[in-house]
Amino acid sequence: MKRVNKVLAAALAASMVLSGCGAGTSKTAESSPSEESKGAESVAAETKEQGSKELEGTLVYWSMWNDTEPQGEVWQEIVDGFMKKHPKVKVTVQWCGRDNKKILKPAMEGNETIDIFEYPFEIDLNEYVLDLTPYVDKVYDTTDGKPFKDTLIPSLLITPGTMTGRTDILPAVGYKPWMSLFMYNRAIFEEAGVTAEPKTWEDFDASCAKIKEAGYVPITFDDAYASWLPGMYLAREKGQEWVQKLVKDTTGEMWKDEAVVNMAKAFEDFAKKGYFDANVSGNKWPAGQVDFGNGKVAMYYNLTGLPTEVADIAGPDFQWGGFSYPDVTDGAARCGKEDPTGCTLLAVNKNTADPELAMEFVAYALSKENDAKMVEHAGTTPATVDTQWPPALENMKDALELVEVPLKSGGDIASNPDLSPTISENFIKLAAGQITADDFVANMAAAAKR
Amino acid sequence: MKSKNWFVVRFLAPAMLCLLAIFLYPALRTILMSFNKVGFVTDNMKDWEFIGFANYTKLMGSPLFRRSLWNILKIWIGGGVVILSLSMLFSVIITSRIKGKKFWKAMLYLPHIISSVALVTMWMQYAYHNQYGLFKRLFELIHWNSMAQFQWTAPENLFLAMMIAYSYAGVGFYMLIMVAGIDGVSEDYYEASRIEGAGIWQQFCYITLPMLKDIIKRCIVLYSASAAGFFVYSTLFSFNTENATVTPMVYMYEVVFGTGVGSSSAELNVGAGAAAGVLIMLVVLIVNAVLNRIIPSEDGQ
Repeated sequence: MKRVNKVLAAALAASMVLSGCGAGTSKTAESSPSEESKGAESVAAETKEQGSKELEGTLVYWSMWNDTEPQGEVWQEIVDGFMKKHPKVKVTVQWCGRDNKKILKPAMEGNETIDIFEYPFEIDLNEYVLDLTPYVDKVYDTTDGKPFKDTLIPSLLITPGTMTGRTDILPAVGYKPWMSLFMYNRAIFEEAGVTAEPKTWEDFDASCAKIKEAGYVPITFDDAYASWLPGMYLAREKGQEWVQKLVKDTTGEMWKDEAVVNMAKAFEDFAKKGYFDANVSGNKWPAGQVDFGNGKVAMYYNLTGLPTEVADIAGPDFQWGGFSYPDVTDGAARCGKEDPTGCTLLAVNKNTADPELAMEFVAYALSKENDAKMVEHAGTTPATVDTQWPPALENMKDALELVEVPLKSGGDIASNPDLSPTISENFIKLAAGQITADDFVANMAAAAKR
Repeated sequence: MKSKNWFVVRFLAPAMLCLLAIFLYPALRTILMSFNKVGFVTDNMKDWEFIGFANYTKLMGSPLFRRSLWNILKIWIGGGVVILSLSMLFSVIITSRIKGKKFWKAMLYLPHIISSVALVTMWMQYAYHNQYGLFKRLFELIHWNSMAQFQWTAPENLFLAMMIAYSYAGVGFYMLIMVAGIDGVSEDYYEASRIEGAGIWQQFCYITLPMLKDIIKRCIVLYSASAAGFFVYSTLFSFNTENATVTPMVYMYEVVFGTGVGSSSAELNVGAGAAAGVLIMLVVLIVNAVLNRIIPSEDGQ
């Protein structure tokens, strides 16, 4: 009996150790039977360009998604589809989740084989990415005879550079483009008689007045995004670079500049007129966006990802709209041209064994067919031109495609982590009517002074 | 004798090696990092840039870090006094002759076992909510309108809200320790004092407190340790790092890994994070030394 117990214990211990080892490894999928591949090859042979390429090799893709998420599920389909199409290719996926931010750099420094990965832009991986400039000019299997870059929305070739700070090369291609807009409830706008999206601060003021008269609350925000409103105002006035200098100022003098005073007075004015929701002083995310989804509030400055986030509350009948942050008096004409925008970045490792194969996979993943799957299943924005947009975001299509100068969120007002909490705190108090514009300026100047 | 020592060494060696590898090596590396400019936490040592005490001066000059030190002081002293006093109060009540002792013990201890995330979600989304919350409804019911409109989660009140939630979860743990301590005090003392005519307050001051001195000291040490690492409640009560809830650990996380939504060009400063870690460690060591002086432990009574 004793012996049996010992053996059992040993077996259990061994199985625990082995299962622990196996937990983090990647998933592989088998290649398809030969009849199907023959069929796929003959179909491919009928396409105009370059015929069916006999691709072979292995690819390793480190994904920022989890295989249980909608985006992860679509990626699994993409991987399976690619391997089915090219039976001699094996693609291995490592589902890192958002932890990829922390594990990608050590993995690459340790010479781990990673061919394709989602670039977490907060980390500097610039020395590991392949410059994709020559590759996006080429034609691939799935691009229907056009150079790859012509199939994507133009901003997806620009924002990877601005997001990573590398404008000399193309460090990645983007998908799931996002933008920061004033998301609004079109039903409320119609009811209040606001016929056009405001382009200037005066229009904005007037629209808010009409909405207030109609019995709705014009604007609300959450603590999480509080600093974006003043940040964008300053970016409209003086541009993002000035905002970046402002938050890094250590004398406190820049905060006393006229631009800051104007901004504070504008929001103080809005607070006095009662345009902000009464609860902004205590709104903890997601309280504000729930109010917006409920139909209580008309506008909420946020990202194009908002419809997916409040889908359950807003319901399918919610009429979504989004307009660019209005121009302000004493600012250049930037509305519609300069907005915070970005995307999810898909990069290729500089040391990848077969760049052509990697790019074929990327082109396949961002082909119209797979892009449409991502839009439908994960409710995201499309990456390819001429793809059907999800109904909630249809009205914002132009805004995304017309942006000229990509900005960082909130005009990059959060770029100094030491000062950021004070900016949010003071703005919340200003919008709640607890402090005046002069107080705001004085507080910020004092906080910035070293 | 020699073989016995060798025996002991062989048994202790694996544990000691693990301890050195898991605790000592990272501690030394962090101390070294605090004197360098480091780009990412896993960078090789050759990529570090030696800058001497610059990280420390930057840290002490940062208003956010200074605020975090002030917050941790409030949490430690203010929170400590409140939590330990309440624990003491409850433990005395529970060990007196009340009905349903087991029920009250369980009720008070229950918040401690529930996950902090679940508890804070309840506090933030239900109890403190400014439109549909428990407190708002309660105060409206009793027509105390000024409290009904009290914005619990506004920046100026957020710290108080967080400490109330923290106390709610913390009291049960210390109460249980003190109950065990009081149960260990011989009933004879209380009987004798009752015969002499002592009231409850006198019994508490002259019997309970002195007998529990060691336990109270242990509780203070335990509480200090948990206060030094105060992180979870701060991150749960604040989406981005906020002045109201920032603590040194939160500051460290912010500069080493970065938080915040959307895209921004904020740079990581791992050296400053390491310096913050070193400072926390020094503070804990100093506090420990001070506590040992103030409350001498009773060896062998």
